[in-house]
Amino acid sequence: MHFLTGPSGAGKSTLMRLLYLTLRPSAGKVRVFGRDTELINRREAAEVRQRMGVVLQDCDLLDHMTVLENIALPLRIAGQKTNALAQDLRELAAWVGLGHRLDAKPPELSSGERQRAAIARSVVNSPEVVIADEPTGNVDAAAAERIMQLFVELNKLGKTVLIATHDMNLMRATAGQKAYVLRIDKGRIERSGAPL
Amino acid sequence: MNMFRAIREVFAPEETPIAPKSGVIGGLITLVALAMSFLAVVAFESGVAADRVAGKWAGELAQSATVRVSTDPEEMDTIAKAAMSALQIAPGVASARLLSESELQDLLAPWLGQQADVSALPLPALIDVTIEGTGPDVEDVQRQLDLVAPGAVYDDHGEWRAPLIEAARGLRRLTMLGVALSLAVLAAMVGVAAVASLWSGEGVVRTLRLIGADDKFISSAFERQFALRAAIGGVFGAALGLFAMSRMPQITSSNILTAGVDFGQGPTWWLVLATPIACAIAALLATKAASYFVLRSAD
Repeated sequence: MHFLTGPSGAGKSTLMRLLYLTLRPSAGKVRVFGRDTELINRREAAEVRQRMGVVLQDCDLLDHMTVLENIALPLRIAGQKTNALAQDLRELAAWVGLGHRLDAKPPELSSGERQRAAIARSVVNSPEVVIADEPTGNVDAAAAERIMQLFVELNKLGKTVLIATHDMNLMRATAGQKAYVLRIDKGRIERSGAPL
Repeated sequence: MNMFRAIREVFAPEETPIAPKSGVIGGLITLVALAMSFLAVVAFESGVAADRVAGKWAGELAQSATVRVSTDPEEMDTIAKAAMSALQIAPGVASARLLSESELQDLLAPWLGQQADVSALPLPALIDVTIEGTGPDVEDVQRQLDLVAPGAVYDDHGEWRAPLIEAARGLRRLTMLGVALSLAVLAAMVGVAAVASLWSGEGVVRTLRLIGADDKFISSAFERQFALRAAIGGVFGAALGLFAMSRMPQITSSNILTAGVDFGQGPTWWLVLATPIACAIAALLATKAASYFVLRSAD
């Protein structure tokens, strides 16, 4: 588990966007899964994103779909029939605590519930890495703690988790978990790979 | 098999469509498709009917010829009879008949009225010739007429047929142009709607991208929706167009105009059915093109 930290405006989100390829570097090199992002075309970028789960501060769920359909979306993109995986999807929704809200639509959910649905969606196709940019930015303290616990559990399941946050309390919530900190400020890395 | 699955997915999707409902934009696409397919069907049916009439006239003219005998009134009977004799033995001529005075009067009635006394006029004698097969060699016939009936002129109606055939061709071109323009307008409207929809659905596009969707997947989500809308509009527009054409007066008894829908006569029936499919394809291609530009410029 890795934390990308630094004050607001330090460049955390910019670095995250460089990683999930919605931004290309204006200078220097960014390598994702061993590949120079400058050399990745549009179609390949989509394939790279399928290998990672992304959770953003504002959830980005599709409002016209139910929680279950939102969680299953990456599978549909990968060309899988979700009907056959209904039971697995329900279990995944139950794991994030949304087993009772499967048919609800995002506008009917609280911020914390939406974020948990986004986390479930981010891991539904077993990505190699989960990237979360300020995942608790819009939720209260209790919901934030629960969301962090989900990331810890994911990490325990063997997933690499990279979380961008400026909230030190959030990092402390992972106490006991092996975690590293990458601190940046004004676009420059100040500390890299230090244990939490 | 894939096509069957695609059709089933459009009309009875197993899962909630990826693209959100297009609301007012979707309604407008249906309306535009309805109007354009209506116009396309009316244009096509009108063109086919007019083309059919022109073809029929040209065909009738091709099966007949006229010999006009212009000479002194005293010699008219003798020359006309000589011309008749020459025609009756000419190869390619089925029959020849000298028009009576009353028939000449009927021909001139639109200009002179039914009561006019045409016997006082220096009119030429007219011989109605019915042709068999490909007809006679015009130059041969004329040579024979020149020998036995000076002043007799063989007219194979070529002068009349040519503009009719040209008119029929022109009508066909105009019909095709009308249909193509209707589809082009539909495609343009759908393209504009798709651009608006993609821009307004920017959040959906961003989310889909974030979770690994490529441009093809995103575009197809919108294509499907707009193609379905256009097909629905196309079905109703074509049905309305057919209904409107079936209500047109049919003056078949006088062989002047045969507008209206002639099921089972020629390809019209199939092409009218094809209109909704053409609408859907036009919408699909327009959405694809719009998506191509929007998704690239949205980076």
